[in-house]
Amino acid sequence: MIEINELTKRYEDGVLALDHVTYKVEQGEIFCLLGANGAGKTTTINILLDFIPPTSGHAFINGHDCNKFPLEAKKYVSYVSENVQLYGMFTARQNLAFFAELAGKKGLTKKDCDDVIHTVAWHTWLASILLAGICHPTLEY
Amino acid sequence: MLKTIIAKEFLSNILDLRFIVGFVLCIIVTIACIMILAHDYQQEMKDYNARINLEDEILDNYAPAELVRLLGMVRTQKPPERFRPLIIGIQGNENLGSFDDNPLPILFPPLDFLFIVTIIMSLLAMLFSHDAIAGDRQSGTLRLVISNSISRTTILFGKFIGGIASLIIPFILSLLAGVLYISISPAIQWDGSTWTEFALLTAASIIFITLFYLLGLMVSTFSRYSSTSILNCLFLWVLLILVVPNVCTYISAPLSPIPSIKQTERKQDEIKYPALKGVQKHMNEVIKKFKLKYGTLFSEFVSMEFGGIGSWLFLDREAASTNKKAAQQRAEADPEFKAMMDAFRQEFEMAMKEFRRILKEADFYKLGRDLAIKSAVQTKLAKNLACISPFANFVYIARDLTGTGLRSLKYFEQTKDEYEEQFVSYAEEKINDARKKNPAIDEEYFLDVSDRPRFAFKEEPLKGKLGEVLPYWGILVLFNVVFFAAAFAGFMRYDVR
Repeated sequence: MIEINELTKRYEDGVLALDHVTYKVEQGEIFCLLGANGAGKTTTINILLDFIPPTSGHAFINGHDCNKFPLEAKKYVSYVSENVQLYGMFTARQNLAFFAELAGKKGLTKKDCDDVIHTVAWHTWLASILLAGICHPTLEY
Repeated sequence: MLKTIIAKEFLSNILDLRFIVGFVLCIIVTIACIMILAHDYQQEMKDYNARINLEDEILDNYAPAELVRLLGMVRTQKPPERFRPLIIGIQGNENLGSFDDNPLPILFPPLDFLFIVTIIMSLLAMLFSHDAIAGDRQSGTLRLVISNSISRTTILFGKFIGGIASLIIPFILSLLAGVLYISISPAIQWDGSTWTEFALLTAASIIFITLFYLLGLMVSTFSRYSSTSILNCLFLWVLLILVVPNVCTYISAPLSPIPSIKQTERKQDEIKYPALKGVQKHMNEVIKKFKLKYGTLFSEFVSMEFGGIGSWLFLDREAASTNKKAAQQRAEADPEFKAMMDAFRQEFEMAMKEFRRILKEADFYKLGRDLAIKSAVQTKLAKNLACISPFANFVYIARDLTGTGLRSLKYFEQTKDEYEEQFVSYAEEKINDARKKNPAIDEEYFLDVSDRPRFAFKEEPLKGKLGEVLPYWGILVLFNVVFFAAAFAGFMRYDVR
């Protein structure tokens, strides 16, 4: 459950990114935050992940204040950035093992990693085929 | 979680090209440097032993029964420092002759252990840590890491421990290779205390390298981009390693001014020569009087006492001490000669007393003392000011611990003075004994000094050295704490976006 209460963020340069925003995402709810450039979507996520502190107001994840108890709050969060960069000198398996450990999944075997890689690869391939089909010029007519 | 971060940091560092380059550089430079310096040490040891043997041979066969000449033959020499295979001491730097008539190496900083730690390793440390935070932020991995339930403190500690481990490993391995070479070299004999000092030197080196790693980490937490971070790191490195220690020497000059040596000498001359002229004028009149009164007897005495008329004007009675004895013998045989000699010596003593009184009243001696005191104060001030640079602190520790610095030279001077005092009493006793047995000994007579005390320079005990270096050690640790605290404060407020 995510609860945002009167959340305000004003950056050092004076830009007001969030102005007393309040909403609640219930457990099991699929919530999509949509908005124009500069609407404050990323700022909200940044506050939820404790990347930046709010100017005022509060954000809670499962009842834990994201600013006061970020470690507790982030236990329930998985974050995938739009431009994910992994460690360049690590193999895919090493990257997977490292981030899995950070997320609390220790002792990942080679098979576990390979399963994940195959699944992701299969989905990525499928997605690319489907996207290529949708966007194919001949189909657009 | 900390272990995970440490392992990741360590692994990513050792997979990096920087590590491979640093490792190869470290190994090659350390081993090459130790091999070259160990060879130089063996050569210097050979030369030293040859000089000692020659001196022993001369003293064993031709020890004169004359104190001044005998003392002139005893040359206490400082043996090559035990740490010469690692660090070129001040002696080695100053002595052009040690380069086998090739003065070129003196133009460049010597490549030794100090150079490896203070220049190569400190630069490598900053190269490793400058992008530890800024680089991860730029690549976006920092956001990914922080989005997990992991504290920034853990991340910073993990980066610090993992990074420093990957940096220290090549250093320790290259040092071990060098140490192996030293331990299998038959010409290099290190005892227990030397190994203890070496262990302490290694510990100080690790603290110094850690300091520069932390400095890089600190700069990284205050930078948004790796490029900015590396530039700031290089600026700070130049400031702390090259600028501050040198500037402190210059700053200390106006802060604690001392008159120039030339000026002081000129002032002393201005006092000395008029006084000397007065004494000479007086003595010339005395000589005229004595010549009139005693004639050739006086000329004979002057020739014996001072080696001829005129030479006494240098007021260097010590140089003429050999002839003085001849005059004494002559006086014992001739009462008139004795009366003249005593009267002249009295006149001479009085003139010299007057000369010294004039010098003292005009602060002649005080000028020299003041120069020495002010010079010592300025040196101390420069040394203390330079402590704001970690480089200076490490150099003080390394040089004082290994006996390759100023402290060691001072200690050598002390032990040399002690030995010379011991030798003077031995020689006086020996000469007196020889005179008692044979009053008519001449220049051809040689003493048997085979039982003489021998000079064997022993390094200052470790306790004394530790007492000297502990404050500098404390400053290095303080630098580490301050840089880590600053890195911590910077990272807690670091904008990871």
